[in-house]
Amino acid sequence: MFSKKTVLILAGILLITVNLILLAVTTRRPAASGLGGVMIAFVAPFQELVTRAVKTAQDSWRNYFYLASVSQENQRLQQQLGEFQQKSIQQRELELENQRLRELLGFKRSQPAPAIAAEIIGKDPSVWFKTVIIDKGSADGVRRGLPAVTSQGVVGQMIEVSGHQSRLMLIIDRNSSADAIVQRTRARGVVKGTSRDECYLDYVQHADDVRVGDLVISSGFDGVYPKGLLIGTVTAVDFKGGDFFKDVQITPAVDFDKLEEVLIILGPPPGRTAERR
Amino acid sequence: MIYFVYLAGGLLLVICQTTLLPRLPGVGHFFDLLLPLVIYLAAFRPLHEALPFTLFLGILVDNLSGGPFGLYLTSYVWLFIGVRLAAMVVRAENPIMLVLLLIAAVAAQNGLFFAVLGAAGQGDFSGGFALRVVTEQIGWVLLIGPFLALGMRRVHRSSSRRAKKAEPTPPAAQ
Repeated sequence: MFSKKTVLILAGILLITVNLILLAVTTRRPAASGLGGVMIAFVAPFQELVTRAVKTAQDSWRNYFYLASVSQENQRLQQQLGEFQQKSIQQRELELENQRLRELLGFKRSQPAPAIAAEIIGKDPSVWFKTVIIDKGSADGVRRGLPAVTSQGVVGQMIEVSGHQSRLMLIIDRNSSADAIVQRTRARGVVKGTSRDECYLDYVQHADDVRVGDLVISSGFDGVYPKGLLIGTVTAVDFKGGDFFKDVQITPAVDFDKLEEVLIILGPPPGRTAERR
Repeated sequence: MIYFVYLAGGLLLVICQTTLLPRLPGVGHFFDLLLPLVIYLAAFRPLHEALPFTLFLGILVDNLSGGPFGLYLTSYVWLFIGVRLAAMVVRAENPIMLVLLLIAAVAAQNGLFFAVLGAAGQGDFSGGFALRVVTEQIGWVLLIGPFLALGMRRVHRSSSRRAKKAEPTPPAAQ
């Protein structure tokens, strides 16, 4: 009925249409079919194996070469330890004072939230997206939406969880956003990723005082990141006369190129849920 | 057996891309390592063998990436079709042609990503960063592409020889 050429053209048009529909749907609504978890579970054990092997080789190499400078390093660290001990005493004093004042004001004592350490075993295959695969999953108590941090600051949140591995979207990913405040002036905005090594603090009103060097911390209002975690430092502020909002550029506190381990906060601090109610 | 070989090869490339390359200092922005495999499958392997595996690779990488589902699948399928059509008019076994195909594949894949993400309002790729990344990826193709092309040709020739040997010899005329 139809020539071979017509069939090929019709098949091509059909393929393009199906393709465009698929992309139009998935770019607006991320797929949550569960297939992602299966694929992560399929690849992650091999990633974990390779990561361990590379790390062991790197550690052996470092240990061998660093042995010579260990004595010098030890001396410097001893000195640093003394300084930190002194600071620790001062900090303890401040902590006690803070506790007394909080009791006077009637605040409840905040306790550290339960957390679990995880190792990064794989990175996103694409340079345009910033996600990583970690070696902890639902079996370890990890759930979708939980935040991940390091001692430097906010890392990101869980977007896909399988039995023993999970996918973590970094705060610099183009799909990431977090409610934040400028520590010095309490100016509020939303930190959005760019999939580069920088973020933007959007929706900062033009009247708000934001300067280069200001620290940006999580506000806790987004229900994902606990309040007070360092996100980054303001590196540029731009404001054009007619605009309603300022353009605020942030350099994240975390060095994502060197990220190897993260801490996943498994839930709100004990007592926080009751406090909210 | 052949699917197992493809699976092992694909998995190895995915592991290299997601685990080994990010740990190597000075690598920067590397191109998608599965592109050469898709080109090889499209140019040298039979359709019934190559297409299902190309689809599997697309689904696998889509699920490992933070991008919208279907982005890699789309790029691999259209690359597959493009290389298949190109192989009808050019000699794909030529290493220079394979390197050119790989450069075109890297550029087209990035172009597709920019178009889809730009249309969805998920980023602006007009800045120098996007251009720098694509240039860096093409630079890597120019550097290691010839070796990949020679490797592809070698694998293709040895598999063709094996296939010929495996063919039953016609009975001698009486």
